[in-house]
Amino acid sequence: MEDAVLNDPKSSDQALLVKVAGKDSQALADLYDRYAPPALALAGRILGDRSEAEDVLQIVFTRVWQEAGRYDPARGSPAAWLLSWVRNGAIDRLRRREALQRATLHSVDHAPGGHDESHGHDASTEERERLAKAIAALPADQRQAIELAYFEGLSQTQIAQRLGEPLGTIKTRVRLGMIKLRQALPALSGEAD
Amino acid sequence: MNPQDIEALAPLYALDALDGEDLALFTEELKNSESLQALVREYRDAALAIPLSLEPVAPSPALKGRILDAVAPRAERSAPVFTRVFWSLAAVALFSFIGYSLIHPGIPMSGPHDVTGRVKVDDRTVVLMVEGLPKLPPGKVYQLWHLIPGKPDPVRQGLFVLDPSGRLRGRDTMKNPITPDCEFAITMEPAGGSNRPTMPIYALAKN
Repeated sequence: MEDAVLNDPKSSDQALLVKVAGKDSQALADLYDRYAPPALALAGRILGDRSEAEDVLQIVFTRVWQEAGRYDPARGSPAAWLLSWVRNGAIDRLRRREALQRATLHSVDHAPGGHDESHGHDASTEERERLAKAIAALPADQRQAIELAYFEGLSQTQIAQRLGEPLGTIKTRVRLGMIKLRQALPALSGEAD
Repeated sequence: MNPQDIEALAPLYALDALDGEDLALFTEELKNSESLQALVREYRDAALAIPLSLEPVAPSPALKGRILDAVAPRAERSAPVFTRVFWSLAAVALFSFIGYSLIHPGIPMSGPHDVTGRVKVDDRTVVLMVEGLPKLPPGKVYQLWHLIPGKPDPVRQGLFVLDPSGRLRGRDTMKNPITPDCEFAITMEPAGGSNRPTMPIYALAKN
């Protein structure tokens, strides 16, 4: 279990979560300031709708307030924990929408509709560009398989069906791509400095 | 399936992309393998590159307010319209609260090292006010436990840190009903909390 420096005024993610668990609303506000912009980008990418993406964020941050005490560092960094809720919430909403509308996926190539202003997140532009480069450096077929899993929540079998490839091929592509990401980003811990 | 084959499934598991027999097999192996758990964590963190590489999007200014308003204690929530009726009701509620507090000052909480405090109980919510607890070392938090008669293990509750004045003050919603003879205990735990209390108990209150 990781330690957190609780008395550090510029708290680590984990220390902020501990404070949120103690019902410190300022800590929730700090966590929001740190992660709302990338979380909105993620939900918007999945849903293609800013209003729905903000609904997901409201639900997720309210849930963080209620369940911060249940965060288990053994299962991943606080950033991974929080953004996985955003991702799952957005994917659930996407599936409900698809079921209701029987529509094809919206284009998710852009930031949520109408509001594409960037925001000064704690992660520097250089850091974001470093991450983007690592993803862009993946072979296209590996990146495609990973993004279908991450942004659309498809299982390995569903990805194979979608792409018309053997299941073993998809498993290999995802595995190789993720190994490269892991090797390229050894310092990525999800802890904002 | 050999260990290498199992490990090869970790990236897919970290992306929630495993299904069928692979998922069942991996989940079973994961339960008892710390190295596999660590590997999944590494891949989950690596997957963070995907959302964090996106261009951040500024939320609408109102969203933060909506969230903080939703989590604020009811009395602190913003009210758009204040009327005479509202203020009349508020005054009645305030005097009722003062009266309740005088009649129900809370359960005394005590412990070694001159720890004193009170636990106020309201339905399934407890409010803690504790003084005299040792300053927390880095990486430690205080954790509340609910000791229920007839239940062998204490129930883990919320995590707390000391405020700038050195007091522990906070509110927590109990996972189980508060019974007449239950107890509340506070221990010091690693950040993130524990599933079982680490001795010693720093403060204890009996309902």
